[in-house]
Amino acid sequence: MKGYPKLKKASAEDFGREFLDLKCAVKVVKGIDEALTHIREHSTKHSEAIVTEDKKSAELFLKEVDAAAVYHNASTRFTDGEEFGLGAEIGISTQKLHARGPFALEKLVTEKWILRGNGQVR
Amino acid sequence: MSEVLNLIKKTYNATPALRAVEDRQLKKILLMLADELEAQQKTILKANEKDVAKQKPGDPKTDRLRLDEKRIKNIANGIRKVSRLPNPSEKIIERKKLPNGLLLEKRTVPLGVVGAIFESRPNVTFDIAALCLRSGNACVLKGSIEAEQTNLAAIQLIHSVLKKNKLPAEVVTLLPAARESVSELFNAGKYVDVLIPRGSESLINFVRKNSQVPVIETGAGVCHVYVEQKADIGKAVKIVTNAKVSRPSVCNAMDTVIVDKAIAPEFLPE
Repeated sequence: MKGYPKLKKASAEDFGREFLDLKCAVKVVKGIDEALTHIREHSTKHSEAIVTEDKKSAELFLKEVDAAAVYHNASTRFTDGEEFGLGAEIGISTQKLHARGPFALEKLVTEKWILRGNGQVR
Repeated sequence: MSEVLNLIKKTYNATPALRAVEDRQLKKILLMLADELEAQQKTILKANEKDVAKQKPGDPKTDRLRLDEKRIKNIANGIRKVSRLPNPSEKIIERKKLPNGLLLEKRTVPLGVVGAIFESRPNVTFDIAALCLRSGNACVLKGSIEAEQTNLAAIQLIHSVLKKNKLPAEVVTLLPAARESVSELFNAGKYVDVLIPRGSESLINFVRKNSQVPVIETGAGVCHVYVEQKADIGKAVKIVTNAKVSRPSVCNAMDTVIVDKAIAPEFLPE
């Protein structure tokens, strides 16, 4: 850590923490399995990314990671209603019911069944 | 019935009037709202000054609360943008004839009444009202006490535009800024279809824990970028830097970078 005065050893609380600042935690892992386990444990299921040229690892990551948006070789900063072409958003939903990811105009609706008959009975 | 619940009920009762409005008209209302907001910005800014004056000096919330000409312009342009988006309701998703001759159709319809609870940013009042009107939803808004005067001026403006278009003002309702409004909203499941908290994690947790109305949670993001051993270091550096640095205060910013041991000596110094 010599030569990097701002670098500190991460504590357990630093993983899974939303910094909202110019700080981040660094985790070194043995391979993709440990990375997936770390994400499973600490993710808020918002946006997760993998950087790799290996197609198999990329596909495994995109399939296995449970988040509203998963990325291969791109920044998580794109999770946004405007960026996705949905227009203004209310926010990014991290839950699974009704809306997931950018919660925009298109999700301010529900569905309705309409049935037109001419005397049908069951 | 409490005064607050009565306001919520009036909004619920105003939904048929909103459903009767044609799409063209909804667009027109939003464009008019954007124009009026710019034309009457002095009134809004004056009210906003009163709110800002009540803040303690140096409070970081003051910046989020403050409006100026530029911010008003941004809000107005945001409303214009929403007006141009396609209306998401009345879309036919499925249509088929059943073997018994019944004609079945599934279409999208407005949620009904959307409730929103939000903190100091006064732009949210306009943003949510615009999105709800565009999609044919009525809304009840509960802003913060810090933004009370700004929100009151905003709702007056919205109401004047609604009235000019012969719509009941109740389709966009501002609840009293007092805390009691929140608990009334939590129990208004009969009249409110979804509740959307916007703001800090503590606000969102409080709403999720206490509301009987279904909550749509938009919340915290602890985002990871995993630099796998076969990563292109150039791409990885660019992506990790962008994910962290481009705007650290937002929810899609990176919080933890995970690095494969095999590539760490090469990647981390970069």
